[in-house]
Amino acid sequence: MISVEKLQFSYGDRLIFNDLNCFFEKGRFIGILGKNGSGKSTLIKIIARFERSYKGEVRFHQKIAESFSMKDFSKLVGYLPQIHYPIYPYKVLDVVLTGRMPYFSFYPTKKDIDISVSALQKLNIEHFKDRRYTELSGGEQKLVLLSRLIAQNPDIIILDEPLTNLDLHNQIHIIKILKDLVKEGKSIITVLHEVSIAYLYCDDLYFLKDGEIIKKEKDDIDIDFLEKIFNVSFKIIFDENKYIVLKV
Amino acid sequence: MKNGSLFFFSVVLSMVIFLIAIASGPSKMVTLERIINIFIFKNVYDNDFQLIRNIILEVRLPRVIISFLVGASLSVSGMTLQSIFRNPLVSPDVIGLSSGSAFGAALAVSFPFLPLQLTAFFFGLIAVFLTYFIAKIGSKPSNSSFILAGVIVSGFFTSLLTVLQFIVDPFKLQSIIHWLMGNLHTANLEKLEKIYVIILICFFWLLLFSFRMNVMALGEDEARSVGLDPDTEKALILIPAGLIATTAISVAGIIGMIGLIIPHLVKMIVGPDNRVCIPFSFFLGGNFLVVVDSFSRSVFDFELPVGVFTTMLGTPFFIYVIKTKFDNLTRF
Repeated sequence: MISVEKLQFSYGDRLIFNDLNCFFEKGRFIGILGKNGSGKSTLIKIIARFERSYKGEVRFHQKIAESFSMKDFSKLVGYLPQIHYPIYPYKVLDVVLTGRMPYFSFYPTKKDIDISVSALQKLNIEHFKDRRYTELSGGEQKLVLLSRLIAQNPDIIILDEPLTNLDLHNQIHIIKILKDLVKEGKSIITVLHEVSIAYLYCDDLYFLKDGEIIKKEKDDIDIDFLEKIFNVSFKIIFDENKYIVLKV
Repeated sequence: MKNGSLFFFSVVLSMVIFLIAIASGPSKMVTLERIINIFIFKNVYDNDFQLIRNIILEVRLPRVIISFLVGASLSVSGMTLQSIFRNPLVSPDVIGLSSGSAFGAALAVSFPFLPLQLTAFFFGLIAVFLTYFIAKIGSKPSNSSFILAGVIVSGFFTSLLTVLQFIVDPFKLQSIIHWLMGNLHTANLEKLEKIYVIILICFFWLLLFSFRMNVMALGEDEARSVGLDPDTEKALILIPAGLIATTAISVAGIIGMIGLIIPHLVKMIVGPDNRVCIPFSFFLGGNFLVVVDSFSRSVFDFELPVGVFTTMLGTPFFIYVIKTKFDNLTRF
């Protein structure tokens, strides 16, 4: 579905990727892991066309990313940023409604409003509808932005650390929603920090280190490899037919 | 439904304010009672019928309508600028628009072969474009680079204006200063005809783009992620927002602070949704200036420039805005 070929990228003098090649399959829940500064966010920003000053090629279904119009691309790929600073106190529903922008030119219709409300329902936050977005906590705002992404309804959903700032309940809540979206046929690519969550819920795992990307099967848990990637010790626990990876 | 009644209320309020504004002024002959008699009951037997008719149709009404359109234009422009630059301190004065127009008008006063309104309008637009392009030099245009560019451009045109004031002859200097203070007493039918089409076109254009402004107000990345190119949107919205304000400035001079006060009041009343804010700031801004202008020509025996009033009202408001919104601004 998505192929990245001969990707070269640097921030000023700092080379991030020299010759990166990878392929992401359709309909999978893909986790991208690595230490801070390993280029995880950069990679997904390049894929989501937020970072465009790279060399190499990114293709979606064999078509070069740059050849899509912005409108068509936003129906294909949706992106959830790591942080968002709101300035004005929009109503939650109005924020979600902006996710429908790819489907009209100037004004949203009744149908767009209905879709936005059901996106809020999907996350069980319909009661936020008339509240001011700026008055919500960071975690609640993230849930709203995820509803906006669901209202946008792209085939591929790219998320940058969706679980930061969330309490434990909401972390699992979001992961389960993402899982459901994959069942509905969406593809998900997300940057994650929690190795244990990644091994429990993702279908494919990709690790970034020193500008290289390494794909690992989730059943093949290689402790030595993980310790080399993250410079911490790990432990595996077997419980209820699941392997749980813990950092210690 | 709620918005419908708000709209209805605004229209009724505007009509009442219009009537009172038409009835206020130096001539004691024109009273509210007589206006109603002449225009609604068509009472042609009034002895001063013709005189009052002329005062109203040729002097007062054009002035009230121009005041309304000027206030409305500056407010709508300020509202728009605050949304697309995501900065509650932005107004036509901040992005260099006002000082550009001021220089243009002063130039036209100094060299009478230049048409005043057209020149003011021309330099106002040049200032907006300069701000836009200076902000784009180097990296991606960011919110702070826009504000900085606005400061640079304002400073540039203000210094040009100072040079002009220094070299021009003293009689012309007086009219330049008068224009800079912002006033509406030169308003007439001819001026109204020159501005209303542009103002209405820009207003409806901005109304059409009001939801897209909501998307822009969430942030550039958030706009890009739903398929709007922030730079294109800024250009599509900035041009009419600049045009509507320079048109107002070209006819009325510098009437400060309206472009800042009204958008804030509107947001306090109806929230930040531009689909409501744009039409509401049109009405509120228009009515506000009509009221302030009526005051400025009836409170004293002489007429005080209306810009002086609005700026005086605006100063404490500006302090209030900085104090309450500062948390949000430190993030730039």
